[in-house]
Amino acid sequence: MTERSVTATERAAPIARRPGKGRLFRKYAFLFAAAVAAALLASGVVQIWFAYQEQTAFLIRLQHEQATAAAGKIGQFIGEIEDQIGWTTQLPWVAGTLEQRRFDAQRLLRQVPAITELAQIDGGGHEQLRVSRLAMDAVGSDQDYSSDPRFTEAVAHKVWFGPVYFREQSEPYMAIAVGGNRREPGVSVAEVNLKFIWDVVSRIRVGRRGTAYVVDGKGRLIAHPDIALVLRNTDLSSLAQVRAAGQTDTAGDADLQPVKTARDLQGHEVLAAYAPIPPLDWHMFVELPVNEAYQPIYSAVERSAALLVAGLALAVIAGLLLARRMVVPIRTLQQGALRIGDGDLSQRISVTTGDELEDLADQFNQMGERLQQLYGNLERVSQLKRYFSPQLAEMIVSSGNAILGESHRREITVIFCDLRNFTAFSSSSGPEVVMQVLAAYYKCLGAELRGSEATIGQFAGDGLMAFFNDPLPCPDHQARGLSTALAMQKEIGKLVEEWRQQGIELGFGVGIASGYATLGHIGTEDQFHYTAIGPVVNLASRLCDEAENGEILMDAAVQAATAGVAKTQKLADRRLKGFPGPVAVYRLLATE
Amino acid sequence: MTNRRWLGRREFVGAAAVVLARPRVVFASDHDNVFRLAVVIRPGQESDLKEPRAPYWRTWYDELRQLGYVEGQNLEIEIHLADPSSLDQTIADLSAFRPDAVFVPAQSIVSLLKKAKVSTPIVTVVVRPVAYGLAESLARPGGNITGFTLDAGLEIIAKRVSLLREIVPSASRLVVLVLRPYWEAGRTRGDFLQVGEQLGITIIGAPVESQNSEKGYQQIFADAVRAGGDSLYVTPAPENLAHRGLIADLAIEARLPSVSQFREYVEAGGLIGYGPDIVDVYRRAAGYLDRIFKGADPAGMPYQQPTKFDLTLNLKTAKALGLAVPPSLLALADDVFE
Repeated sequence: MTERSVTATERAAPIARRPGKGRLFRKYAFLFAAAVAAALLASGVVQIWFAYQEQTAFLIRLQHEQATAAAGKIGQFIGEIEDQIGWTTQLPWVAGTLEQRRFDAQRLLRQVPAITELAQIDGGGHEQLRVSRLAMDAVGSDQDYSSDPRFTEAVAHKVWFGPVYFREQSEPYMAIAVGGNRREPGVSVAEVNLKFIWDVVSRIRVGRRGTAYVVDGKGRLIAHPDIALVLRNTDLSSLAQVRAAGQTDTAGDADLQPVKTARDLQGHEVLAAYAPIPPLDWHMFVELPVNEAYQPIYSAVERSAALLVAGLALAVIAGLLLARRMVVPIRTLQQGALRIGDGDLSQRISVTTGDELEDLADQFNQMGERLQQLYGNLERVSQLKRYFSPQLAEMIVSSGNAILGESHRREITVIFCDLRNFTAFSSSSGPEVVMQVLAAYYKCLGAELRGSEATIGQFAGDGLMAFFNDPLPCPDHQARGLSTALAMQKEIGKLVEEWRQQGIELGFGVGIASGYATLGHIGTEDQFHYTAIGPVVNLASRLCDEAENGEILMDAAVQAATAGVAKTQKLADRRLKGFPGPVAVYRLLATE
Repeated sequence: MTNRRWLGRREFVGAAAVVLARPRVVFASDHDNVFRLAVVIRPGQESDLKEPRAPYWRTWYDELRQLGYVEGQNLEIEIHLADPSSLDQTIADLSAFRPDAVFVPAQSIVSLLKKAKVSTPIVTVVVRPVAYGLAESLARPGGNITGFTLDAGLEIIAKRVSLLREIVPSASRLVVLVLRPYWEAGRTRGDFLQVGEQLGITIIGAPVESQNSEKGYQQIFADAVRAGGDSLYVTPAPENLAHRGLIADLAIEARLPSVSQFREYVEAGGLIGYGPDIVDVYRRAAGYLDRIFKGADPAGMPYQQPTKFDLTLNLKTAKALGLAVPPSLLALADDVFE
């Protein structure tokens, strides 16, 4: 009954814990997902960081290269015009060449669309010829250029590039003056329509939406893919990048043109790179909208974010699956443990994860098996204790019944004891008193027998039979039996004295006999005893009957075996029921 | 629900495909997605618009299409024939059409539209916008009208005449085929008289009526010959361009060596052409219309001047007139019709 109630409380406890059951699952799944997400995030951030660094370095290099290349193209454009003008300075200034010069000039205009006008000045600084797309050709106008920089600078430096000016405040123009060689010191002055640079800049591709444009030394726009901006005579000197370009030149640090984040004319953020256009004081600007320039980085961020989300989803799924793989067997284990706790020792846990959990389940099963065995043993021990002392019972159980074995014959020493006058007492006294007396009696006997290696054969009322040397081998079983009997007599003697003082007249007698007996189980299929059968048992019983209160009677075999330790008195041979001849009887006097 | 979501996705995919396929299509957000474009021309000019279109109109249409405007889809074009006498009707027609932009390749009409204070953005093709009060400056026109100039100043007239005189050095009486309003307004006449003085030749005005016909031109030529004209200058009035074939034929008939700025005129039988590439001008004009559709303000859109002047010669005409073209001129010609 007590056992059952304990199981009930044990069962109640896990039920109370059930709401927390999902915690491991959640924790595990969350931890897994968090770990994977952290790893992904870290890798994503690192990737983006490096992508940013690389892209920035790449953009700086690319933009600068583009600006330099574009500046080169403009320089080449101007250089080609300069070369073409050079051809017209080669004819000597002698009479008759004028018509040839005019034809050359006209052909030059046809060849170089950017040249709107070409003037030829002789060595004295007087204009001899002017050929124009827009006006009639003028021959021998004799206009004086001797103090004009077009003439003086070209004579001094061979080539002179004039400042940019805007015709009708709209079209950008520049004069290029080329001086002749030493023998023919004439100068050709071309008025160049810079609108034609549009052909060059509009062909320069800067990303998808980037632009390339040219600004002169004063910050005015000379060339831009949007020709309208140029024709509007746009001043860009307020733009940070244009100012920076001007300053870089004065600092003389023309080598490394940094790429700057700046604003363009519309105020959009751009990456601006610039390069000088030698020999002019112009600068080539290359601008790329920042959002386009960093598009690869944005893409990388988007990719990383997508990967992160996908990775997170995978991590959650994997976490859930793994947690499930982990938690399901744990739950099985838990439930198994619960059932075992409930007392179902035959419960076996089936976990086939092939890992430590399976090992754990196996160990659990082993434990259960062991528990079951132990429990069975315990039951048997408590059963066996009815016949044997506890040590013996455990020994029998742990030996797997080997000690008991089959029915067999063996030499044993049998003790028989009972109370004198018990029948009369039990019939004249109340049941409570009888049971009280018996309880005290057996408690006393039990204490003595437990200390010995005796096997209890049977109880019957006040009578008890016990024997030695089976199943536990005991070489000096006669001596043991005798000493046990003596101890019983001594202790029960005290009880008898107590009872006498209470007015209960009872005595205690013991008979001991030794000899061969048959040992084995006797009884019905489900109720049986391990006991001894044979004349020696009967003899012990008869000797018990013969014994007076306080007497221990023994047969000759016991007396012979214990002669060294026990002092006995031979009584007169007796005739005992069931024994044909007279039987030698000895009374124990004392032991050493 | 599921069905709707599916449709939504399909629409999205469709929209994305459209965006990918035609990135240059412009849809004004506050617009019904169709741009209205009015073209105002002089009567007689429409012949070049009819199929097969003259190259410059073809280029104009092609360029609009290149810029993503498809007539009948996101562009509606209405052609208006305008005459100074019936301009009120034209303005009424225009306000009924409510155009987003007007293309007026005729200086006489655009001047009148400006006078009538039409405020719709206008792209025009003219000769001298600042001199004729159409713009504050070439760089910043400052009003609702911008466009392209066909000439670069007065000096180019002299240039043309001098080119003509390289073939016909004896030419001394130049007949100028010019619209009557300009001739009578004084400014154009003054310009030509100045050129005549510079070159030492006589200028004979041959005013073209706005309502012009074959007969009208025949009369003009008869008058010019009677006045002793020995050479012909064809001004870039759209009427003249439209009647280029007739003019060329009449000039050969009257044995007048002629100069014009249009290559098209030389192709039709004129002797010399020296002027900008009108096809390029019309292509750029389409670009300006695109900018206006996208919300640009004409006040800040500079007039574009021609940069390249092509010299074209018609040797067949020279032969018909019994003229020899000097090899030096021939060498300089960009295009020669034989």
